[in-house]
Amino acid sequence: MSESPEFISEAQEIIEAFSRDLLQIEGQINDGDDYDPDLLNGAFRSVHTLKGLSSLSGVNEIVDFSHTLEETLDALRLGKLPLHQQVLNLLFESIELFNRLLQGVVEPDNAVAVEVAPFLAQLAQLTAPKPAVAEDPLAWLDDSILGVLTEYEEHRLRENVRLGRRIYRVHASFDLLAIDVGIESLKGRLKSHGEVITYLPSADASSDDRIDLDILVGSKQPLSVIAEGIGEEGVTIETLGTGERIVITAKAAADYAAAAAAGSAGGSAAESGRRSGQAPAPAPEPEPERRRTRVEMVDEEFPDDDALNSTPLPTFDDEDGDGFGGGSGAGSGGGSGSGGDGPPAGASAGAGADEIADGDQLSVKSLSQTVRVDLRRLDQLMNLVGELALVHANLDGAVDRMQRAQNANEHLREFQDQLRVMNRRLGLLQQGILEVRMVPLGQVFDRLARVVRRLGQKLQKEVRLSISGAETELDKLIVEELSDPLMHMINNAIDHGIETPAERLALGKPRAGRVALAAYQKGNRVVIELTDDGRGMDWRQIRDRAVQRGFLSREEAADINPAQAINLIFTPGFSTKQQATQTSGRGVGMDVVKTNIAKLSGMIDVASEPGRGSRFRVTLPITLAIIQALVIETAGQTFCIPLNSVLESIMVQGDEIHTIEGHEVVSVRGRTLPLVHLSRVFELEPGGREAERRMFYDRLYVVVVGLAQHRVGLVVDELLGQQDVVIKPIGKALRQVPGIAGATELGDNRTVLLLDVGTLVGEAVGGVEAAVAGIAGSGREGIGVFSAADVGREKEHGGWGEHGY
Amino acid sequence: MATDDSDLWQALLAVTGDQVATEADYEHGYKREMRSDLLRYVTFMIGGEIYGLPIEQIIEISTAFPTTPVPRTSAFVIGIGNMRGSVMPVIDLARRLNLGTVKRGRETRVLIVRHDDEPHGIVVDRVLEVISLAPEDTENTPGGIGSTRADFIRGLGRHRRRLVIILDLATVLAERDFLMPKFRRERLAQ
Repeated sequence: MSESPEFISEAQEIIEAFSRDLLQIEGQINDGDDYDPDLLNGAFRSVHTLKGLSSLSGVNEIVDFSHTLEETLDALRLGKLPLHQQVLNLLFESIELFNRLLQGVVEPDNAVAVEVAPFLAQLAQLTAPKPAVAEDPLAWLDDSILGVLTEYEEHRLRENVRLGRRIYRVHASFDLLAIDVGIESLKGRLKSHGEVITYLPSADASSDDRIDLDILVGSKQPLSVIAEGIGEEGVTIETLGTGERIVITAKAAADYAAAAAAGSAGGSAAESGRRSGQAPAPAPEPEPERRRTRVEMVDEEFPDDDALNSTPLPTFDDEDGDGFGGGSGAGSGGGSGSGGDGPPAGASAGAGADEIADGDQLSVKSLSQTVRVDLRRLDQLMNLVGELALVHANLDGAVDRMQRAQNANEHLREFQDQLRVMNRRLGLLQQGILEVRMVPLGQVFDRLARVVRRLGQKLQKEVRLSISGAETELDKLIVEELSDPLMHMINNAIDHGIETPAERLALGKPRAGRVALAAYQKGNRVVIELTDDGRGMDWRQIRDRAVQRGFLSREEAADINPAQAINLIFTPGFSTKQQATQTSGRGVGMDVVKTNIAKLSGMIDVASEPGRGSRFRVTLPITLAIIQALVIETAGQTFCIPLNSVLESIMVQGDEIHTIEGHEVVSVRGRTLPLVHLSRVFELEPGGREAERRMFYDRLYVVVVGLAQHRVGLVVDELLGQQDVVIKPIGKALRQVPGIAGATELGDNRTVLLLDVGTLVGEAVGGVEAAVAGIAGSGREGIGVFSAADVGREKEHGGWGEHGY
Repeated sequence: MATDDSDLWQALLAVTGDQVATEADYEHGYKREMRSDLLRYVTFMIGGEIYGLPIEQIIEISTAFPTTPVPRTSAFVIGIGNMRGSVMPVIDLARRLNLGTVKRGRETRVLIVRHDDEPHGIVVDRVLEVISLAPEDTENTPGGIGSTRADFIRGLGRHRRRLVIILDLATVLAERDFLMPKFRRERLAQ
């Protein structure tokens, strides 16, 4: 990495903030509201900061690009340019460009030259100056006010007037000592009614310890409602232009307060009371359908921009950038090809946009490996380390005294006390460090919101994404590894699940499809649910499709149950789509999802009802670095099994074991469980010795492990107990060993191997469970499980070890 | 003047019982250090032969420590060991070079080497010394040794008339060889 990781992570954060602002603006516009100008300001500031940051780090491509963008945003902010959907689309495109530029900084070696020129050309076309508005709607305004406004404030003032709002002047007096608090609270209350345009120091004489301010507010609401909302003594509100004014007296304030408490006064006072202090922040709800109507409207306004819109929307479907499939490059070729029948300018613009979209869709993973840490958390850790040093000193002293003492026993107690203290501190330290690794899931959810928006546009479907639990925290590594599987799942939900608006209306469903991402913590696991209200999956159809594609023989299909059938969607190469589209249908996707989630020791559940929608539920451990493990022994060797993949431990009598096609199985509560002898798969003992040992045991310990949707029983000799272990990497060379995830130290300085349950289950299921379930015939890999190639690939990508813990 | 000073020093040293380098020694040493192309090697014994590794590849030399066997790995992989908190694979160099196995004894040592940015442990019969070799004292692997071992040899050095076999760490620690062949195939099948 040529640039510092701090630069990358900071730049990425800025870009994400920028994207969040844009999504919110779009959401507000789509809801038919006027967008909050503060969001646009935020976006402008983000780009400005990014420019400064990149010029500090000497990344000139980003400096130049953000400079141009900044100018556009400034023009938008000052109202020199109208903000409409077309501009928004360009701005969203810029996010992808930024990400690609950053990618180039991270990996200078295999960087693809990022073509910013077509984008800048489009931007320039938009920013071409428009004839100024001739009449001045502010003619009635007092010159003394107009004279002191900045360009931006003046624009906002005009904008408010244009929107038919009334302009109020709020005159308030603040105590000099508490002015910051006072202004904030007043601003909060005003914001719920309208927009605060500016603060002006009042011309009126004021005493030494007070400051008088005039606040210009634009609002649609009548004077009285605003007065009620403010409800603060000594504030004067005046409607500019009419001269109407209200002075809020102490009594009036009390009245209003009472009214607010009683929840009367038309509810507005109560409303404002509740909302004051919190900025209105509606959830970003991209709504692509409206976009098209917007674009049409824009077309009338800008006949010159024909070229931009001439790429017919449906071609996006055919162009097939296959970004989700993992490849790229075909996308750009297809793009320029289909654009060829439009006007030349349109063709190049279309191709450019398509390429940009593809680049990002390859991954929504974050580029940086850094975690930002609240300084207070670090301070706490530092304190703990200090305390540990103290314990160390105390222990030293104790040892010293023990050596000198005649009778060491009297000092033993002290020693033990200190050990206990140390143990407690170490626990706190461990927990503290874990917390440092935690990041909110919102980081990924934000990026997914962008994916949803773009997909909806491409597929011409209306999708509303609702997000809850974005504040749920997970280990940074898990959050990153999770972003790609989640993206695949969202692709599927929108492409396969959500119907077109026309279909939905015909079915009596709301026009816009709903996709919900919800995260919550459940014990020491985090559950992420992705729900859609689309078509759902018909297990019969999936079964038939599997037969058609040759994944399943007719006989096998005859006695498959619904749950097994739905699990077929995890088979590599499986797709229910008749034709592959750009977004999905190539049959890579769900198997990748499953592999990635299994890699994180997670489980995935699918539930679906035809016509009502589907729900995918991913359950993950909160962290990977320190885990609870079950310590077991087999053939004299000790191993650890991650407890989060252990479902239960049972004891099985020798005569309960049956064989199916040579594979041992046991029936647990009516469910057939394939057995795997750890000592056999690891070839820990030469043949015969195991049988000998078996003579002595007529009972077996079986650890039931499950990953993704499969369950297998591991046969072991002893269960030694469970304990928290720190996972250590075992090096690149041994990382490839299938079935081993890492190593850890047990208390007595023994190094013990940690089993990779995912791979073991996969290996076992390929043979055993397939035989049990009667799905797979001989000579074929199991259905919906790891194939040998999968296992290899997973190991090569590193599984656990790659992350370096 | 100078002689007076050195006399004084010698007198002082006679009292303290230490030895100190004379000017002549410095000169000699200086001349020796003049050659900047000398390479230093750590030499060790395996099956009666002397082997060497460039000193910069070696982090430290440790006495034998306990290891845990890892299933599904080749015979030369002893297992994993834990050196002060970092876990590393440990191999038997004699096995790796098809020279039998290292017999653990009092002189058995583990060379902790850095390869591919990760520590690895290499168990050897005995560690000898650190030697300096000039490039003219080393030669590339002669053709016609004709064994698989030739792949592991980067060159041959001559030191005090004895042959020092200089190992190629990258081949000795080649990742794919760590796995048992049947698990390796799986990996290549993709």
